[in-house]
Amino acid sequence: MNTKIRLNQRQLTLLMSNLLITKMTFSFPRYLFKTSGNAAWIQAIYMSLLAYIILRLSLAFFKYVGNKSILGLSESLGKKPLKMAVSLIVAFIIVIHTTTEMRTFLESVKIILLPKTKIEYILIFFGATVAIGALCGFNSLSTINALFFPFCLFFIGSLVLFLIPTYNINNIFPLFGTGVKNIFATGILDMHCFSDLLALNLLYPYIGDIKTIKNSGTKAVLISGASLTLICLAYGLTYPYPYSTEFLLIPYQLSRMVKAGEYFQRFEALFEFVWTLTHLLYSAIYVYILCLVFQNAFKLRSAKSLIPCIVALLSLISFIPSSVVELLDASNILKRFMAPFALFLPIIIPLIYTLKQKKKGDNPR
Amino acid sequence: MKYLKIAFILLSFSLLFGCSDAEEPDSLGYVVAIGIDKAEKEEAKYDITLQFANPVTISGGASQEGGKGGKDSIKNITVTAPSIYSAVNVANHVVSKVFTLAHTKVVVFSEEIAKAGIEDILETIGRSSDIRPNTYFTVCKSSAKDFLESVNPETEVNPTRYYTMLFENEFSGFIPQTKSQDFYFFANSGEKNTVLPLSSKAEKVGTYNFSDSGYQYKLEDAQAGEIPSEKTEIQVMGMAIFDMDKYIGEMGDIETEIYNLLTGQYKSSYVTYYFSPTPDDPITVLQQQNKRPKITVDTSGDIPKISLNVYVEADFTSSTPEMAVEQHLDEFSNEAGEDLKREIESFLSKTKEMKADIVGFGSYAKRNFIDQKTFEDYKWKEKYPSCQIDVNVDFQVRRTGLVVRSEK
Repeated sequence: MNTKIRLNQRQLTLLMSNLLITKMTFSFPRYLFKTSGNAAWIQAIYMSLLAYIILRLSLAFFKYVGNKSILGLSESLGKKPLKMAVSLIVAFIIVIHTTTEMRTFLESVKIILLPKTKIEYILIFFGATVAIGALCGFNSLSTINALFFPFCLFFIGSLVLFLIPTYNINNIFPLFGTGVKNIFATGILDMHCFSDLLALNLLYPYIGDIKTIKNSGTKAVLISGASLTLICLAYGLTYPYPYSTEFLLIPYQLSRMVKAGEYFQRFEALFEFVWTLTHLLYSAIYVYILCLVFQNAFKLRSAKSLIPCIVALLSLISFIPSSVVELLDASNILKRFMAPFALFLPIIIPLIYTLKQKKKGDNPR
Repeated sequence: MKYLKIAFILLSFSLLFGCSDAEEPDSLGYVVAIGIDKAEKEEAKYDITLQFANPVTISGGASQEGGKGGKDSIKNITVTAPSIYSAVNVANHVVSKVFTLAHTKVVVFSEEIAKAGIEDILETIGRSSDIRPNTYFTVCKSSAKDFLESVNPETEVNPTRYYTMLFENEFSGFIPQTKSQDFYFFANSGEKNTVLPLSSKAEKVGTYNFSDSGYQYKLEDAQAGEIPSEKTEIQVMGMAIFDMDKYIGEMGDIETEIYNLLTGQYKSSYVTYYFSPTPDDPITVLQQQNKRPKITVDTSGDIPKISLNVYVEADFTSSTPEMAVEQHLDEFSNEAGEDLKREIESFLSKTKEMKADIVGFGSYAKRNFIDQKTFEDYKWKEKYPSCQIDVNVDFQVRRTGLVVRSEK
């Protein structure tokens, strides 16, 4: 596999933004509304602040450990067994996130766009596109993402603006929705939506430049946090509680409400375009990252041939839940369970490595 | 690279993928309105009338004259079914079209159905990706089937445009601007009651009753079907009031105009007032609401206290020849404001009698609570009938038309 990945700051920022925003804005807000009611926007701000703190903590060790990812550090710390264990955890996290997003996307496509088509056909075409995207390589993916993703951000911005006539300020009251405890205590369980920050750590060895990583990571958290807050605020202002907790795809519901004059009412067509491309890029990027993890764990010279197998495996795993309800419940539990690993491994492993090196009296780098 | 090229060619076939769900436009039956009546047999549940567009008439077919409106532009089919989609399924087997609800503009409920509750229909509409959230609901005083069969969109070629013009007319305050989404959101809400436009076949040929009120033609409130009309067509006027999903009462056109003023949905209309120096001469103004009402609710005590400030602007469109009202603008504004205030107070006491907070004061009351549970514990709907409402009307005549007369 070609591991000569070259990403500039803009590409890395938009790539990380895609990984965070795809889940956050399309399928995740539903969980926020279930937790906090129409105070989801407050929870979104709170979670973005926590994610920023977590990111800064993980970046704080950069000067001690250099551009080694947690996989490289675990090998230095505990040789092959630890590296394998960490690789498996990382792979599991990626698999959980990718498969649940993939299945949620496919089921939603079936509900909204292709109600009469068998989901297996949709899966085959989706899987083939993702596999081809991943085969094109990371540089191609990040370049296409850098071209497309600003359009996605523009879509989110225009959606929020076009909906202004439907906003009702009373809908976001009572201000603390289902309660302060739910927002600030139970809400921590929803931090799994920032689990994708793990991908930034996995890409460390391929970027090298600390400034690029710091700036891109920070900007990605800010962009995704702002998008999530805006979508939650727009939805909360438009849909009153408790109906705001019912809908499957919040941006789709919002795009159906747009009415800009007599002849511009089907904004959902634009949503469907943005939504599909974002998911294709999201899945292809994660398939590639998963291959990098396997390549690193098993010291493979090239993992390119793994791509079709990984896509097939992800597709099969994504079809384990028998229904959408089971999928949503199971994925939420699994994501919540894996979130501490995803968020804190990039802090704990470098911390242990730094302490161990300091104890030895060596320069950690 | 070779494999990539092959993959690219294969992938390009996926562009044809959407064709698997494609429907030819001429094979579709575009349902523009749905009527729901109670079925004769209770277990059959509903008689559902699907009114669909007749594209041959709308487009003009092979003729060179272009499309025609009127009764021929629409067709109706009535089937007995337990839900809307079951009716679509049956209709697909009766008419040689595949029915789609993507262009449905109106759902008409018969009075009987509305009184029994429409929660199951709401469930279908909330769940469906076909039916749009800005579809109109209306309660029909006659049967929904009769109503739809009386529709004669003479002024429009496109039947959906006909319904849009009928229900979305910003220059008439006589119907509430409630869309299906608004009804769906608040049907089971603890903060407010919902309303829907009233509609009917215009069968009743009668005369108006006159009242003592100095507001709006001195007429009693009229509802759909009560306006004298020589033609037997449809009328949409007034509103049906709901408690949860059940129809509990109705209000006439003038009360609906007041409702629109209080909810801030009112845009403008021509309104007639009577000035005390010339009590028999109507003065008509173009009334506009350029500023939403200011509502504050004090929930600190057991009895909620509501402060309501309504801002109305008016321009003279006709005046009395007896005197130059332009020279008495303050007196006229005060009297008109008092008339309007009296109407508003009468409207609000009626809503209290009906135990229905249709204006949505509860939504403003929510602002005083920290979270949803404390608001729910306050039991707003139970407290609303005993609330104190302080009404203030700021009525300003801004312009006098093209004439500014002096005192004779």
